[in-house]
Amino acid sequence: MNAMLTVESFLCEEFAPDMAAAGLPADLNLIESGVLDSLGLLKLVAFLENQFNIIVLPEELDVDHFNSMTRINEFVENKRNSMGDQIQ
Amino acid sequence: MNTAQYLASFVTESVIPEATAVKCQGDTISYQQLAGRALQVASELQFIVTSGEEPVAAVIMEKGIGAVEAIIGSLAAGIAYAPIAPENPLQRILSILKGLTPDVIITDAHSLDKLEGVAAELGIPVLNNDSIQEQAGSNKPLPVLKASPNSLAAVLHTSGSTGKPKSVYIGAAQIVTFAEWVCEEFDLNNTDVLLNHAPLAFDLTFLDLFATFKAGAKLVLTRNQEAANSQALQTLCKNESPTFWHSTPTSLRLLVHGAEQLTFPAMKHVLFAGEPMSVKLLNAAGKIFVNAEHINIYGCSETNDTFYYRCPIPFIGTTIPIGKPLPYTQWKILNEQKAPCREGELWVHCPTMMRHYGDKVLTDNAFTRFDGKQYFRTRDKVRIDEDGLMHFLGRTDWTAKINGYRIDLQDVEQSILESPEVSEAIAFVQDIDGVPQLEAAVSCDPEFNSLKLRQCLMAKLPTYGIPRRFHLTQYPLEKNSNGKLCRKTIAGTYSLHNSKPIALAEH
Repeated sequence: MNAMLTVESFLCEEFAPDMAAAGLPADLNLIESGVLDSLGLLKLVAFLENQFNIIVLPEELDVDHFNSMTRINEFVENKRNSMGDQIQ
Repeated sequence: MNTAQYLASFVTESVIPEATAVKCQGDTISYQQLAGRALQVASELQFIVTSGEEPVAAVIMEKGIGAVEAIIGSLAAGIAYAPIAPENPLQRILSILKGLTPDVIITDAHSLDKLEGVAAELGIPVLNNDSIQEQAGSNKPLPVLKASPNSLAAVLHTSGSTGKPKSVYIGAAQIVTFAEWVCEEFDLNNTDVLLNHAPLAFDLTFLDLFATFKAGAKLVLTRNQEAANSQALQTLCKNESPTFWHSTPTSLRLLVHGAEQLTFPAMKHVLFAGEPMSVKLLNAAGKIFVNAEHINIYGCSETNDTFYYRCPIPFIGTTIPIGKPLPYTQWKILNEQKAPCREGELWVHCPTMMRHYGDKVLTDNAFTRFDGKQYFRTRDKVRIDEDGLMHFLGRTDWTAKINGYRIDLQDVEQSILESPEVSEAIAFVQDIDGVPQLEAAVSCDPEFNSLKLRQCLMAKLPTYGIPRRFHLTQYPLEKNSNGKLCRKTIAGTYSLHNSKPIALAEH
């Protein structure tokens, strides 16, 4: 399952209520465009942990992992894959 | 030696040359090494900057040891430094440089490409700090500059209401006086370790750099990445055992977030400035910094710090006072008729006050003489209580302070209105669970959306000036009975629609 749509709808709902129907470009820099700041990042991480049942380690709390939807999606996919490996 | 060079001498003539001056991520540099590097920068600058009264070097560098070398190097050459964050949109950097007309731009390998075009366009020479070779013995001797009572040391830039940043000119004597107060008041000495948080373009770093160097203490400089990361800050507090914390409350909140189980017993002084502190956060910090005193500091770029308050912990009450004046602060509370009162606008006179803005009209409007002394109009509303403690009540104009950044709401609106699809815009600050958030209501074409707006704003405003949340409508915004846009009404309207609390764990 692609995390992108879920993340997009979360970001739109939280930060861009008018964008619900339109699309955020996957590579939009969420930090530079003012969508996310460091406190917003903490909210996003809390959402990702809940939504995808992953645990974001403190040392992974790096803005580089979350500065666009593409990066967020990659991060979540990697996380889910590696957690899947652990279960197997 | 002029006074700017005197500031540099805190490093270049350190009495403990082998002590660590700065640590930044894995890198450390001693006072002696930093002095050596700074003198190389100073030497190079003398080949480039050959004329002009009160020369200025724009320092556009990534935060790190290199930027500190450039700052101390400029001052050692008797050149004022103007720190500008390289993360700014190029258009904003260009607008700042046009107003500032620096004699040189000092940059690093990281930002060189970005700046070369702009520099060529404006005809400003560029010095790449990363390409300065160590050439033992070939340094041009430093100029012996006439002692002046107050040479220019720094030019800072804050948000302005016309969409153009305001430049604040600060003399070296002002910084020296301030650094002396900090060292004495907090007994800062060479056993101390100060954890810096603010970006170098911020007035908070006068304390971080010059009080620390004056005391011969160690400065732990956070990279932007670390400064935005709760865990990295906690790790720094654990590994570096800083004794001195200095940041905005928002930054302190990042450290406190998730640190409830931790204590940092080495910390002696926790200073916060730049925006009002919340009682909840103060008490949370008190549990982590078990041995520290907590000090609420009040000031602005134009005056530096002017009031302070040692907070009792746990703090009982709803708002934290800004307290008592610094020993050198003179102040007045005036009403609209400029008569003294107990609740009104704060005016201050102090030796740490800026010299002037870049714009003469702005300067003339900012100062008024009373009893033969220049007083700066802070545009802050304050109240003095029965115990002589000062309380901050809010602003008298349309600036907001978020995470220590002064944001002129009219500047934000002006930038939004530059999009042709937009007909009306109002920017306001919303309280989200105790945390201020910049938002904007915009009346625009139905085809326009907040994404297109963000993309326009990214080119004009620094990140902190872009609203987190936009409320777009194709209808005109609500007017008051005079037919004017009313910021308060509009902010109220959207706060009702917007009252869904955001789940951010805060214990």
